[in-house]
This record gives sequence, structure tokens and C-alpha cells, in this order.
Amino acid sequence: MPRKKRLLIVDDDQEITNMFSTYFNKRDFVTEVVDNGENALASTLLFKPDLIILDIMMPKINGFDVLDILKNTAKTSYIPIIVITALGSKEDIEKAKKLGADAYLEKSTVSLDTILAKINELI
Amino acid sequence: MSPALYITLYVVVILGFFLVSTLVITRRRTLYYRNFATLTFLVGFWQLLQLLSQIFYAQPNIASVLFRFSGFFASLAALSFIHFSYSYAGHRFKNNIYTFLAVAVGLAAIASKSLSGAQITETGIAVKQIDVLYIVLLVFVMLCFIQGLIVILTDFIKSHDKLQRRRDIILLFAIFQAVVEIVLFSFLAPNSLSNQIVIPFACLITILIIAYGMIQYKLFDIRSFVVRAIAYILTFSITALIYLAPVILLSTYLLHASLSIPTIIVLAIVSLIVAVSFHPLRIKFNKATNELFYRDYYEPQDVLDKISSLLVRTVDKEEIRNQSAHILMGSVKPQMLTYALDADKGPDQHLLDRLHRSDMNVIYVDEDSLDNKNPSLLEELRKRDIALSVRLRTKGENIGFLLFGNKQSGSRYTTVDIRLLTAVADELSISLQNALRFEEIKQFNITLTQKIDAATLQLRHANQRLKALDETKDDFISMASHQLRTPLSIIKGYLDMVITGDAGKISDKQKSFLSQALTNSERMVNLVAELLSVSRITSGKFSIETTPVNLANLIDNEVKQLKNLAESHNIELTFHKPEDFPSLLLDEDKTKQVVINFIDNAIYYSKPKGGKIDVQLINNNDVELRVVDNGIGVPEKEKNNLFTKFYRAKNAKNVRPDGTGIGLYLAKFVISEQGGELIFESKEGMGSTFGFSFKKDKIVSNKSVAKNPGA
Repeated sequence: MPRKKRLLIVDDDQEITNMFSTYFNKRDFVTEVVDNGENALASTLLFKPDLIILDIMMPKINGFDVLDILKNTAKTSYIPIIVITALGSKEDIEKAKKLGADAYLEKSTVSLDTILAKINELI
Repeated sequence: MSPALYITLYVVVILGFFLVSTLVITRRRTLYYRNFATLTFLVGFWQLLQLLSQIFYAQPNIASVLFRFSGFFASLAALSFIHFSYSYAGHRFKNNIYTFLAVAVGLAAIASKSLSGAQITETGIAVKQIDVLYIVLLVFVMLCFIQGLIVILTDFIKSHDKLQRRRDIILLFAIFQAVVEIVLFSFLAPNSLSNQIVIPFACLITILIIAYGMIQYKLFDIRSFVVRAIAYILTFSITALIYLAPVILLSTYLLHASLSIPTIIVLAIVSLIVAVSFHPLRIKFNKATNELFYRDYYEPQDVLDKISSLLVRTVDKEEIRNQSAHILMGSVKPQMLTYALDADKGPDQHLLDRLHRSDMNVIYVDEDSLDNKNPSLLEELRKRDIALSVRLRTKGENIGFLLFGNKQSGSRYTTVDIRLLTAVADELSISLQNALRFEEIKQFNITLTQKIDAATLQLRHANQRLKALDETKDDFISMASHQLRTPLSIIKGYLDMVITGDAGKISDKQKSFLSQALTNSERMVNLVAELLSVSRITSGKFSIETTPVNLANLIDNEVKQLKNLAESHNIELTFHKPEDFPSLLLDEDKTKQVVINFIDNAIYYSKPKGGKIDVQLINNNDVELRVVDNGIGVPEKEKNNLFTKFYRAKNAKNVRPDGTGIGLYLAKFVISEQGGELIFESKEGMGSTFGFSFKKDKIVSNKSVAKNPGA
């Protein structure tokens, strides 16, 4: 059996993370949830995910900073990051891309299937 | 011949010459005028010396000296005649030999035995013996005059100007006759005493002829001046004579004193001076006595002039009132003077009304005033110490009244006073009316400006409030949409999972029910997206991201998604997906929303019994999408507003009360931002077609499909 893909979900909204976990676990992923930006780096190093799903709107440290840190740390920069967020303005998309995001999806309009398709595309 | 007459003749002649000299020299300073003035002066002086010599006939030495000097002046006069005639003809005369000769001859005259030996009486001068020097004098004078005359004659012949020729003739004649007469008599009868009279006589004629020339032919251009001067002199002379005659008669017959000629002359001059100075003296005397005796005296014309100049220079009501009051107080001198104007709305309105009602322009409260129809009014006026009331009225408009107290001097207001005041009142009325109107306009202007400022301030405040409100609304929409999205995505997510079977097997019915739920949650997502877009447009954060989009696929997907919804409304939803439809550079999400919106509307705004919706994708000159329905349609008068924010047509509101009115506004915005055109046709009760078209340049070749950068 091929190795299960590992997903790290960084989002402070429990509802969302529960839903993601349920969905992706059902589809043979190993999921880990981090609910704040400060622990994201540590968890990444610990959990060693194949892909990170990252939310922007988080208290204390927001997603952009996490993205910035992850992409600039040698040990974690290779991991593809999909930014999923309720925000959707041009500036945010630009900023995410600039900081190195591999994909940018809008939370409400995007369907779970689309997210799945994207993930399969990247890893 | 009586000495008096003789002397008078001389005096007249001498004065004549001096007068002409003065007149000419004061009027113009051109050369030949100056020369003529010099000439006449010298001739006059010559005559004067001759007269003086005769006056002092009793003292032969003095007389002789005077006479000899007259010869000197005769020589100079001859010289000046040459100068004059040359300059009159327009030539220059710079011959200094003549000057030298003239002086020499003059000196010779002084030395002449003939002249010194002449017999001088009161009434004549006779040269008894003729010596060489005398002849030299005569010859020189004659030569000068002949030469001068020839010059003028030449000018006359040359000139073509009629007027000029006339002038020349007059001048020639005037001088020629004098010269002829004088020379003849000097030669023919030098020793005849009584022939001395010829000289002044001839001169008189010359003067008269020249005077005639000046007046009639502008020989020297001092016409009106001359006439006035002559009149002046005549008046003086006559007045002097009038004063002199009684004095002489008195002294001769009453006092039996014989007045010597010098005395007479002195008296004549004194009386002339008195005559001349009487008039100014009289006025000065009048003024002084007025101040002592006639305290009331003033010049009405003076007052009118002052009032006129006041009214001309100001439009200010107060200034007019104050200054005119000042002028009137200073002239007519009432004890009191006030303006009672209607515009003042003072406490005496009652009195004013009564004055208005009595339609008299001038009311003089007087002991003897007869026929007053209004004794009570007069009593009123008397109570307030008003003696005279003059109406201020112009062009049918009543302005008020000028009220005067009694005069300071206590005397009556005369007819002259009243006439003056009426005239002044008329002028003042016009000016005051203007001043009042002017004030009105100024006031109106101020009020207007104030009102405008207030209104502008209000507008500004209102605008600020609206702006704040708008921002609040936008912030609210933004926040609300964000907050709504998260739960929605979760609902979507779980429904999706259950339908897919992640929670276990589900029956068809369950699947169907859940699908409905899912569809509607997606609708909600779209709605929220729409709301957010609206808020973004208003706050300027809206953006179009274009990627190659296959409209055929996109529409196909959406139609499939909306099929259930359509069926539930009894609508047949059809779409013939075209083959080989090109990709266009569009914003996928937003365009998708537009498509969904069109189809959604078509479904909801259908007729109750159902209908048909046909979605057409056409690739012609342009690329077109058309959503054609046979629903309720759009009423004619609502068509213009249909695509504006939050607008809902009446019939639409009835059919679907919960519509937002945002969909079409967004659709229009999205389409036009991408460079497309809206398609909209509709007939109320029949159906509508909504859609868009894009020009072919939106088409992207399939080969250059770029990788979707994360959206």
C-alpha cells in the first residue's frame, strides 16, 4: 500500500478543520491540525507534512507571516502550501503569491472536490 | 477847437493804440502779432509824448524835450513797421542796418533844431523852421513805411486767398491813408498849428479801420475779445464821464474854479477807477451788511449747486441725509430740520400717515395760513415745533417728508424759500429713492449670500453624513459577507460529503433531499459573493482576473447544477452546448456568477404555470450568450433602472419578494469591466432575454492556455 499523504491544516476555525479532517481522512490522507500560527512552524518540523493547507485570518500571527516563515526556512521551504481563506482581494492573492504560495483558494466558493483535485495536482 | 475835445481825441487815440497792443499781445504770441503789438505800442507812445508835450505847453523846455523824444519814437515806430510788414508777409527781416539807422535818425530827431524850435500850444504843434535833421527824420519814416507797404502789397498780389487779400487791403488802406495824410501835412503845412490835429485824426481812422478788419475779417484773431473789450471800455468811459461831468460843472459854476487840464485828467482817471471798482465794491458792501442786517440772506442758486454736487457724488442714504441737512441748515437756517422717511418706520408713523393723507406738497404752519382743511394736523405739527413740511415724492412714489422748524431769525419762510425747498426736495426725492433702492439691493445681496452659505453648509454636512453612512454600509456588507462565508462553506462541505457517501450509504430520496440543500447552500454562497462584490465595487476593491475560460463548459456545468431548481419551478431549461467553442480571456468566477444570475432570474421570474428557458451560446461576429425566457418580462418604464444597485421592478417584487436587486447591477459591472456588452430585450408579460457579448479579440487560442496560477 502506498504511503498515505500527510496534510497539515493550519486554521483557527474548528468547524472548518473538523470538516477537512473528516473529508481528507476518508480519502486516505493523514491529517494534523494546528490552530494558531505560532505553532505552525514547530508542527511542520514535527509532523513533516507533504502539503500544508493554510488559512490567513488567524489571531496573533496571520497566515501571511506563517507563509513567509515556512517558505524562508530551509527545512520547510520545499513543502507546497495551499492558501485557503475567506479573503479574496487582488492584493491578498498577490501577496500570497509573492510570499511563495503554490495555490490560492477561496473558502466559500471552492468545493471540497476542487481542493482535493488541487492537492493531487501538487503532490 | 476846445482843448478838452482836442485832448479827448488824443486820449482816445492813445488808449486805442495801447488797447490794440495789449489785446494782440495777450492773445497770440506769433511773430507778426508781436510785431504789430510793438508797432501800435510805439505809435501810441509817440502820440502820448506829443500830447504830453502839449499839456506842458506852458513850460517850453519840458514841452520841447517831450516833443523831441516823440520824434525818436516816431523813428522807432517806423522801424517796427518794417519788422511787422515783413513778418506779416511771412518773410524774415534781419537787416540790422535799419536798426542802426533808426536809432541814428531818432537821435538826430532829438537833436533837431526844427523839433526843438517847434511851437507848442494846447491845441497844436507847429514846426516853424525845417532843418536837415528834421527832413532826414521824415524821409526815413517815409521810406520805412513805403517799404513796408510795398512788402504787404507784394503779398497781396501774390496771394490767392480771398480772405487774405481782403485783410491785406484793409491793412494797406489803413496805414497808407495815415501815412499819406501825416506826411502830406508834415510837408505841406508844418508850421500851421491847427493842422496838428491831422495826426491823431488820421491815427483814429487807422485804428477804426484796423478794428473793423479785426472784427470782420479776423485781421488779428481776437474778435470776440475785442468786442467785449470795446464794450467794456465804452462803459467805463461813459461811466467816468458821468462822474466827471458833474464834478467839472460843479467846480466851474458853483465854486468858480477853473480846472487846469492836468487836474481834469487826474479827475478823469480817478473817476475811471471808481467806476471800475464800484461793482465789486458794491458786492463786498452787500455781503458785509447782509451779515449784519440780513441774517437770513443766502444765494438760492448756491444752495442748489451744493445740493446737486452732493447728490452727484454719493448714493449713501445716510450721507445724503446728513450732508443735505447740513447744507440746508447753513443756508435757510431753520431752528430744526428732520427727515421723516417712510422707510425709517419710526415712532411718528402716525404723523406721517396724516401728512400723506393731506395731499398738499407743502404745508406751512402759519398764523395767517388760510384755508387749511386740516386744523388738527396743523395743531399736531405745531405741537412738535414743525413750521414747514415739504413732501418728498418722485415718480408717483412717496418717500417721506422734510420737516423744518421756525427760522432761527424768527422771520417767515418767504416764497423764495419755499420755492427753493421744493426744488431741493424734488432732487432729494430722486436721490433718496435711489439710495433706498440701493440699500435694499445690498441687503438682499447679503441675505442671499447668507442663505447660500447656510444651504451650502447644510449640503456639506448632509454629504458627509451620506459618505459616512455609505462607508458604514460597505463595511457592514464586507464584514457580514465574510462572517457568512465560513459557515456556508462548512454546510457545503458536509452536505457534499454525505451525498458522496462518506457518512455511509444513503437512499435516493435522501440523496435527492440533500442535493436540494446543497444547491441552496451554493445559492447562498453565490448570494454572499454577490453582496461582497457589490461592497467591493463601492469601496473600489473590485478586480478582474482573467484566465482562459471555456464558456461552453462553464455554462454547461451551471445549467446542470440549476436543472433541479428549474424543474421545481416547472421550467424546461435547455442548453445546446456548441462544439469547438473557443476559450475567452475572462474572470472565471465572476463570469460564472453572471451566468448563474441570468439563469436564476429566468427561473424565478417565470410565469406561475411554468415556462421555458433556452440558454444559447453563439459564435458569430461576436461571441454571445443569451438566456431567453418567456416569463413575466420587464415593464417599459422600469427598463432604464433595471441595472442599478438594489433596484427591483414592481412585478419582480411581487413574484420574488426576497430578491436583492444586486444581481443585474453586478452583472452589468462585471461585463463592462471585461470589455463586453450587455444584451437585454424584454416585453412585459411575454418574456426577456438577458445576456452578454464579447468581441472576438477576447478569444484565446487553445495553444496558449496558461497554467492557472492558483485560482
